[in-house]
Amino acid sequence: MSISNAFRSLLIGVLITAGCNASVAADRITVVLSDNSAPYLAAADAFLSLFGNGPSGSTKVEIILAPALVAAKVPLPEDNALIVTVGLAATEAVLRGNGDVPVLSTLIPKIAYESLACDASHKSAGRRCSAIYLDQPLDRQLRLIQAALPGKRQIGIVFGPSSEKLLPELMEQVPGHNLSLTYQVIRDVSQLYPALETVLAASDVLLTLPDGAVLNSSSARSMLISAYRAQVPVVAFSENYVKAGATLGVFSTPEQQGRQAAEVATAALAASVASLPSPQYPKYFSVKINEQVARSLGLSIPDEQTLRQRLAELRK
Amino acid sequence: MIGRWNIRSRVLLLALAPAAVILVVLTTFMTYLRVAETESGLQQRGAALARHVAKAAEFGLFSGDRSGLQNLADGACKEPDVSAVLILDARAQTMAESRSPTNQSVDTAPLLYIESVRQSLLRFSDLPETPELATGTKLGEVRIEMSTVGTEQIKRTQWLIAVVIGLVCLAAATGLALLTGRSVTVPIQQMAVAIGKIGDGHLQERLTPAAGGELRSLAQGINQMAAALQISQKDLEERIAQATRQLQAQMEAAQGANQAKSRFLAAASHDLRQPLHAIELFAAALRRKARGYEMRELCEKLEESIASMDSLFNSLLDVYRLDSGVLQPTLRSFPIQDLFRSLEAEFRGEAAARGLRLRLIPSSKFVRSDPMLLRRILANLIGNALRYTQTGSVAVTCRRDTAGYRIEVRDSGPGIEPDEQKRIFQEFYRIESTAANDGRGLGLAIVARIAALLQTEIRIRSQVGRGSVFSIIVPRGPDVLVADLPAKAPRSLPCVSPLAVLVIDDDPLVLQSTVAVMGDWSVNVATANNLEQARHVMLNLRQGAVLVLCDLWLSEHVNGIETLRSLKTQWPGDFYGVIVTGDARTETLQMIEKAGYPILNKPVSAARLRATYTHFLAKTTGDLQRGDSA
Repeated sequence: MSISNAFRSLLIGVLITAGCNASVAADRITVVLSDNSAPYLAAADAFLSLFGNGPSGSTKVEIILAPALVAAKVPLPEDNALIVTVGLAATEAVLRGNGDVPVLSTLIPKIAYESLACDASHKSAGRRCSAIYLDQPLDRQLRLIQAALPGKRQIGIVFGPSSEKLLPELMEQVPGHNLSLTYQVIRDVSQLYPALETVLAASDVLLTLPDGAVLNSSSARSMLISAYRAQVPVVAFSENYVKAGATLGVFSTPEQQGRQAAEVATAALAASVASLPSPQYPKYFSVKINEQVARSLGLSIPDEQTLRQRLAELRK
Repeated sequence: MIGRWNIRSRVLLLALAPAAVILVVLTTFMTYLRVAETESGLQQRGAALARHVAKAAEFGLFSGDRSGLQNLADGACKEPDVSAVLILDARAQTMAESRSPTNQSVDTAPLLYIESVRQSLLRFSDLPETPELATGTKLGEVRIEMSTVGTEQIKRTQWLIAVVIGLVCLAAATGLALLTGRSVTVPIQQMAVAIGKIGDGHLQERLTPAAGGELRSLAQGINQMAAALQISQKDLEERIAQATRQLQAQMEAAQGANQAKSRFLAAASHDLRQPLHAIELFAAALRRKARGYEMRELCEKLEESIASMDSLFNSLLDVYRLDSGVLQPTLRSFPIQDLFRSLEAEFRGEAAARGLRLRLIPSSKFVRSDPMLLRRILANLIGNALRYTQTGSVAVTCRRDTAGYRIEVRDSGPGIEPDEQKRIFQEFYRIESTAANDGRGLGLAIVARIAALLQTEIRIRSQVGRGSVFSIIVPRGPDVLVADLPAKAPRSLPCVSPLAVLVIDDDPLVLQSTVAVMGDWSVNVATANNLEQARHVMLNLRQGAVLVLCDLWLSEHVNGIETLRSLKTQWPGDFYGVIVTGDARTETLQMIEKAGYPILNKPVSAARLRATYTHFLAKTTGDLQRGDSA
């Protein structure tokens, strides 16, 4: 119900904007959604409401769903000032096509974007691309550990083939936060338990990173149970994992991503020559604590609001 | 079969059958449900335990924690009815195994539950951009064996409880049905008993109507019925009693009349006999003295008339004696040929006179009867046959019969009409059509009476124009010959009699006539009017033996019996006393019989007198002459 409501409000928004800016054909933006599921709609909704109410109120916004684009039912307009993609599928669909319209990707993991952007640059060299990553900066996560769990200094991580790429960056940043790192690298899930056992045995806190080889829906529970048995709190990168049993997590909601996208788009269109900033981590984020788990582990963690403010302050 | 049940059983059936059916159906249904519940409970528990253990074993299998899995298996094995728990990993290697010591008993059909252990899926990401790669790989397998022994035991117990409850409820229902049924059955049973008693004649039986409704009105109806029956019975009894009283009175009157008739006839015959006695003796004397053919013929006619009158008196006396019950048969065994011989001698002459052939077929059979009475019967029948038969013959036979011997008197007479065959035995009945010479109508009446006295009866077979057969059944007797009194006087008398005769009578006519008759036989006859004279006469007799013929009623109020007793005491030799009387009253005859003296009934014929004399003469001489009769 909420999905259809969101979609309806989105369409109304489109009509209003179109009515106001009928004379300015060049100021035109296309928003491509991976599909019409709730998070994408929420992000689009947030984007539209902020973008439409901002200074570039006369810009026409068109919304397309990625499946329709892929099936070539709807052509991608050529005279756009900017394409905003929401989600990985939308980004893929747009970047795989030809054209030189600047693309701003949102709700996309950093690793996936880098891979796609690399491919896109091979295809059309002059195309300007940028993104707002879905991932939180490592720095922010480390700070969260610092702020929420002051006594926990030993960070444990199990890397998979894809998340392994973050290892150098982590190695670099950990000492700066007065923390140390214990880690194992595995090839597939079957190696998970021994690795996890080793890591947990030597860690105060387990930091999870998105990598299918390590963390998937099958292993997610076992990982939580293992950590719980070892009395090690888990730091998650999604709200759902916190709800499922991780102790706390930092993430950006679709609304927050939409808001940031609207700000970036507005700034880009406001400039005389359309220019996009370089890809960036989320500016807006949320902190979530599983109070139950925290109590079970005997942890006293500051409330979510406090932590969020402290992370925001520290960033400045 | 139910048709023969009594009301109690019917009521019981009526009350119990629905209850029993409902009870059985309900108990079976409920128990079946419970048993099914128990079974499905076991199955559900097995499946649930397998799922639970599979869930719990997920992490143990993921982590390879054998001790943890063993704890899990041991714990599961402690659950009721679990006989074994086995946990295998993805390569079918046993990770943990636990067997229950208590549930290891011989269970032929344990239930096996196998549950795969898969990694449970957990949504952890917010967006598809962080893939969750849902595979849910199989970690292993949990096998749980559930013993059905306990469940079977519970099932058995449940069925047992159901049966016990069913029986208890049925017993309670029976008790209740009997208790409530009593209100119906008891009154009805009481009614049945009461009706039975009323049927047996206890009309005073009454019911106390205890129940209400129809049963009460039924009981009241029975009471009313009994009361009505009682009233009508009483009425009927009264009527019967009244009728009986009337009948009794009538019967008494009839008997009185009959006795009066007999008494009158007896008295009349007695009074008539006295002169007849004298007439007869005078006639006999007259005949001897008569000279010339005419005189003799007159004398003969006179004697015939006297004999006829005598016979009539005798018959009347016989009827009276038979009716009054004085005569009692003296049964003994004797050869029937003796009787035949005597009868032939008696009737030979008569038959010849009538031009008829009389045949008595000789027989060697012994019969048991009173010879005198049987002779009377046969003599009567033969006499009748001769009288009524015009031409032809009369035959007498004795043949073997189922009940003894059948003696038949067959004639070639005119026969008797069927409707007359019964009436001929009535007194003074005579067949009209026949011109009987001597039909006084008493013969067959006497025959019938004697036959009744001998406990037999006379039967008639007759066809008109073809003759009649009168028959009598007599019982067989043992072949024993018993000496008998002579029935007939010998033809010749001895010239000088050794036996003197004394005749005592208050009537001088009787004395004279007797002397006139006996004097002719060369017998020494003396007479006396009374005891005194008799004593005097006897003193002058001075002979060895004396026959005293004494009248019963002498004038001095001394009867003949006393006279004879008195005379006997003073006579030294043989003394024979005979009472001569015309009194045929029962009391008189009984009195004489009791005293032990023979009786001569007045009027005594000359022949009878002679036979009596001859009898005693034979005794005196010791020379027992056996004439033509035994």
